[in-house]
Amino acid sequence: MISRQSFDAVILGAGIIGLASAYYLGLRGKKVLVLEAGGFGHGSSGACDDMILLQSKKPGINLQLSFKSLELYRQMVRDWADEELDFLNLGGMILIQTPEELTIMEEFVQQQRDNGLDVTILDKKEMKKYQPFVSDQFIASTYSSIDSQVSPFAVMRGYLRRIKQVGGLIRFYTPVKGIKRGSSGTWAVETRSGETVSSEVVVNAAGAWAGNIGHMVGEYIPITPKKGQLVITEKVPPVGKTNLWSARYMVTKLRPDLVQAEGSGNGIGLSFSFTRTGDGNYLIGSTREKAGYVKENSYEALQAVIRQAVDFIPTLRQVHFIRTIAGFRPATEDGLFILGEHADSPGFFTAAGHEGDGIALAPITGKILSEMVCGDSLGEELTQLSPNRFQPKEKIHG
Amino acid sequence: MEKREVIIVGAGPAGLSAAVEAATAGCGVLLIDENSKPGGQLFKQIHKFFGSQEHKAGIRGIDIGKRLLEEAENLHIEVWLDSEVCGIFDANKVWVVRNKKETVLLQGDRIIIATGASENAVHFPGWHLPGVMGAGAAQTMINIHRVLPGEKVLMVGSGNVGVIVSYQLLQAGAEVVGVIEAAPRLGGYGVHTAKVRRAGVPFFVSHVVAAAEGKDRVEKVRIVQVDPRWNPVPGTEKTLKADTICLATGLTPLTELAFLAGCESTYSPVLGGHVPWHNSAMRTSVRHIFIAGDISGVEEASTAMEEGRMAGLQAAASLGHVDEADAMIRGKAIQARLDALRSGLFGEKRKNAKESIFSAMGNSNNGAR
Ligand SMILES: Cc1cc2nc3c(=O)[nH]c(=O)nc-3n(C[C@H](O)[C@H](O)[C@H](O)COP(=O)(O)OP(=O)(O)OC[C@H]3O[C@@H](n4cnc5c(N)ncnc54)[C@H](O)[C@@H]3O)c2cc1C
Ligand SMILES: Cc1cc2nc3c(=O)[nH]c(=O)nc-3n(C[C@H](O)[C@H](O)[C@H](O)COP(=O)(O)OP(=O)(O)OC[C@H]3O[C@@H](n4cnc5c(N)ncnc54)[C@H](O)[C@@H]3O)c2cc1C
Repeated sequence: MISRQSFDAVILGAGIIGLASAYYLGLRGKKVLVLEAGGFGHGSSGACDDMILLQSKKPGINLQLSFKSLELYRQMVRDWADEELDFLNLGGMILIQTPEELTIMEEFVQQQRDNGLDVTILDKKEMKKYQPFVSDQFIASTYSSIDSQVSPFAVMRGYLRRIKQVGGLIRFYTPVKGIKRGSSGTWAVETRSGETVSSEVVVNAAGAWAGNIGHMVGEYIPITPKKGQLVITEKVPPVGKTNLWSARYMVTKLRPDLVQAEGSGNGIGLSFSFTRTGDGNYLIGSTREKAGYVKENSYEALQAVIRQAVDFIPTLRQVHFIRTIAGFRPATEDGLFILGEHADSPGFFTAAGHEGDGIALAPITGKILSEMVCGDSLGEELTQLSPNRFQPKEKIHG
Repeated sequence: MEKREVIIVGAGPAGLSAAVEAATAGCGVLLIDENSKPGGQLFKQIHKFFGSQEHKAGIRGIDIGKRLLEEAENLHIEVWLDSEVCGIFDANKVWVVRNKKETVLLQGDRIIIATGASENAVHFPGWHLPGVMGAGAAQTMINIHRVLPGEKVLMVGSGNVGVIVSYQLLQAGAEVVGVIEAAPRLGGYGVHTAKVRRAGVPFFVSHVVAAAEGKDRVEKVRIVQVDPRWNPVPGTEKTLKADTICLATGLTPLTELAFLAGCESTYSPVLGGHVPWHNSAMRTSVRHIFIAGDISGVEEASTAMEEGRMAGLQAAASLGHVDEADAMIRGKAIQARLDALRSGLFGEKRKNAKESIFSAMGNSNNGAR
């Protein structure tokens, strides 16, 4: 039972984006309700890596917002002294295998430097100083000291506590099944068990499922799931000094067309990511698959991820893999996430579609969302993220 | 890809019973276990089992294990030992790593997961020191490998596992410096507890470990009394000399494989936490995957064997090896024996917990796929 029936804002989805949104709205004095279909960490935010990665961002709004988000995380570490957020600043390196990749990366790094990111290219010898265990096939790497990481679970737990402290409500196992426009201009949100709550503002933070929520109000939200599978190791002593990615990770992310043309990755979009958690387990990834909403791990993908890891870092042969997970990155067509109010549905906001960067971008997304809901005047550049940028392929009826 | 009709993961009492039942019905069965000997927990149970006559009460676990193995051998059931199952995919593919070397992918028409349970750990300062171990691990050391884990042992937990392992440690020549229990009363059956008490072992109720101390391994343990809200009572600390701390603090079903395969879960504190949903035929929410034994809720070897028989029977029936009427009659007989095992003060709770799982499955939107 939901004890009150009326709220300033109802947030749909308790992933890291929904919780960040609720938290910042709460700071602005809004009475919020969060409705979540599953349990804590049910979506992508409970099945992902932990990186706040700046090196991977194309210069532009994503990079700018990532800087701001990192700053908010740093502030969180200072202000939330009672939470262990596992925030670390290990830095990151992108491993380069071929001269072609080196050319692409050199160009990319130059653009990033021009935009204020502290990143350099290291030659093989320098690279080995940081990463003595990587195999000899790598000819160079990038290095940036700024790449950081944080435990998504810990961040979500911290948001959750603080949302409750200011009187916000959260209901797990409460899927939303319909949204209607009430007579007085407020939204009526109906749960699967038949309860209805009303609110002037509805925030769609349903990640890879945000399109379904859009459908309920007749809005077209082109977000599709890109499945990623990860393997987790036992706790081991540090393997190298920084976290790692392969240049292929960047290429699958920045130029999916190139990867597809090559036909590499066996159609599972395989690339390499390697990060050490605060506890000393490594998260090894990952795939980028179009597999609908099938959440199970697949043998082929796990085998490919493990083979690649052992090929790149041969010493991992001695390490036990203890867990596997799979999550759905909520992906848009143009690589930018969606943040803003829908023009035809006043009071209906979407904050979703962060693909592989939702952890990094959560605080800034929540903060800006709260500013939009409160009607603050905001920078012009944010219109790039507007949900109104998409043209419906066909008319949808709510 | 190699194929089998029925693949069973785990060769404890549940898996062995399932294998015997399915093979008797005419299924081609492959039984897989990570250990180099089948039997699961049974071969370290050198004590006489409790329960009713029909359930081999009064017989030692190890002898029950031997009988099951003989039956399995007579049926020429194929058994892979030293073989870890690392994943189940697409509801019918089983990923096995054999002898820590070779990776094999198998296909099974039916899969029965009987992986048992794992011991719970409790955390206290010094819990990482060598000498702190699960009571089950200590039991394996003394009864299977014939090695004494230490000379002075503190047992944490007074349930059946705690008192049985304490007694077996005494038999093996160790000194048990105490059995501590956080709850205000003892948890084990009277017979087992009395034997340990008669040997002069002190019991401390409402006590927990405050810290384990030692340089390279456990040398002493500080214990402390707790009030009804589990807060330490100041001034009640005692220091005991011990080189080993055994944790008998409950078991948790080993459910990872089932969840990896996509089986829906349900939560049952009485049965040890999250368990895969199943119906009375031991079928999960994923078609063709069955479970049996401690994975479906932590109980006893006797119930594990009956559940194994049920899963073996139902898997065979679903493959057409047993006709419907026959399966019904035999299924009812097994269920009646399970109900009998789940009677009495403790049994009743488990019976109710099981039944609420069965009905949760019927009501869920995530029913069989
Ligand atoms: C393998 C992998 C690795 C990744 N690594 C990183 C990384 O290192 N750094 C990074 O920044 N990002 C990473 N990501 C991306 C990140 O996980 C996502 O961008 C982020 O979690 C998205 O958060 P979200 O809150 O939008 O979505 P989710 O966490 O999926 O939350 C959406 C929630 O909405 C709920 N929901 C759906 N429908 C309804 C409904 N009808 N009613 C109520 N609730 C509903 C869902 O149950 C879900 O809990 C990774 C992702 C994957 C898969
Ligand atoms: C000290 C103690 C005393 C007990 N006393 C009694 C008693 O008196 N009476 C009684 O009825 N019960 C008793 N029990 C309980 C009984 O032993 C268990 O309930 C029973 O063994 C459960 O059977 P199982 O087949 O489900 O699991 P297990 O016996 O645990 O067998 C599971 C098997 O599966 C294997 N396995 C797990 N995962 C994998 C994998 N991924 N790949 C391959 N193999 C795998 C395991 O190694 C194990 O061999 C006692 C238990 C303990 C610890």
